[in-house]
Amino acid sequence: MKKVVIIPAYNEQPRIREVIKKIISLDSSLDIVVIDDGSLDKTAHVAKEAGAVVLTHPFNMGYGITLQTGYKYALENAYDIVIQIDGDGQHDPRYIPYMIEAMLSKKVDVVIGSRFKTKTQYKASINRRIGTVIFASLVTVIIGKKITDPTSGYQVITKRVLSFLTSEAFPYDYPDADLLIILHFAGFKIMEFPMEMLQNKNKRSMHGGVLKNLYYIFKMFMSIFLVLISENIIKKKER
Amino acid sequence: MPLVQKIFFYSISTIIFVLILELVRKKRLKENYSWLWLLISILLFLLINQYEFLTKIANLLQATPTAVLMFMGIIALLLLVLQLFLINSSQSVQIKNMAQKITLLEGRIANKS
Repeated sequence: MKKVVIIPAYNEQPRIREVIKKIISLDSSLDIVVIDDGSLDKTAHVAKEAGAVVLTHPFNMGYGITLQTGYKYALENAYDIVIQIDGDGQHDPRYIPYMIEAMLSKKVDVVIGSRFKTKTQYKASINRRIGTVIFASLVTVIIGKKITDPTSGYQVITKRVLSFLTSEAFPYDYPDADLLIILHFAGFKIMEFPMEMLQNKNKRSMHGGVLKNLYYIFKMFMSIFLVLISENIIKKKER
Repeated sequence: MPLVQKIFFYSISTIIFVLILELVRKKRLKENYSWLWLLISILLFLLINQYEFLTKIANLLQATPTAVLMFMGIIALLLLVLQLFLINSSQSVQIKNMAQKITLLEGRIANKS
């Protein structure tokens, strides 16, 4: 089975080497691809030196598009399993084999690393916690399966999902809770895997700033609403 | 409608129409982005001609015909802005796909060498 780890990265020069080294020491057979989203520092150079394949966006395009570039790479190179982790060192690679094992044994298409499935040391800010609880509840109700961490960027996915994730159906503007709902309605099976995540005090969150937070909430509600409408339309047409 | 106002609106609609045609002729504006402008200028021209129709709408809205004309102008501008957003959105997707393709191709070349 061909496996690849995709790491979206933007200005991760101080952290990216450590992330790559940890993955290599865990399993040297894993291919590692860093997608540098037009970093202003030497992220790409450091990642290449550390042993990763590096793809560099010509300019900064955002987290979702960076992830999708990784999916497109995986699809082009016929990988069977894609592991996505963030480049900021928050995700511990030691969970990778367990997540893959869970995916294969439970026959699911997406495994999400969850910070909140079991009690861990991870402490989210109050805003983030409230947001996560709201969207997690929403996803849980809609897909009928308990989801505790819809914003987690630590995921393992099968090749079956890749052609979907590389299409225009992929919500590349913050692919979080809405993506899980879209994947569920598209017929993919999702499960969560409990894990401990490390705090990163040196880095700003991608949802940082009042305006960004407000936009995120607006976008997520609208996206979920539109997915539900589309789903109803599809169901009505099928009847 | 007073003659001065009529002349004013006729001039505006004619200027828009001629300007858009000229921009298309000089290849500074693409045909597919010109149709809404041309449609607006023609509608403006027709509305000034059909003063009775304009008065009916004005009575319905309890406004003067000139105010109705201005209001329709604002609606037309909003439609033009919407068209721009639509174009912008579709081009954003195209730029994203192109940038991703370049990234993947450059990656392929770099990894071969």
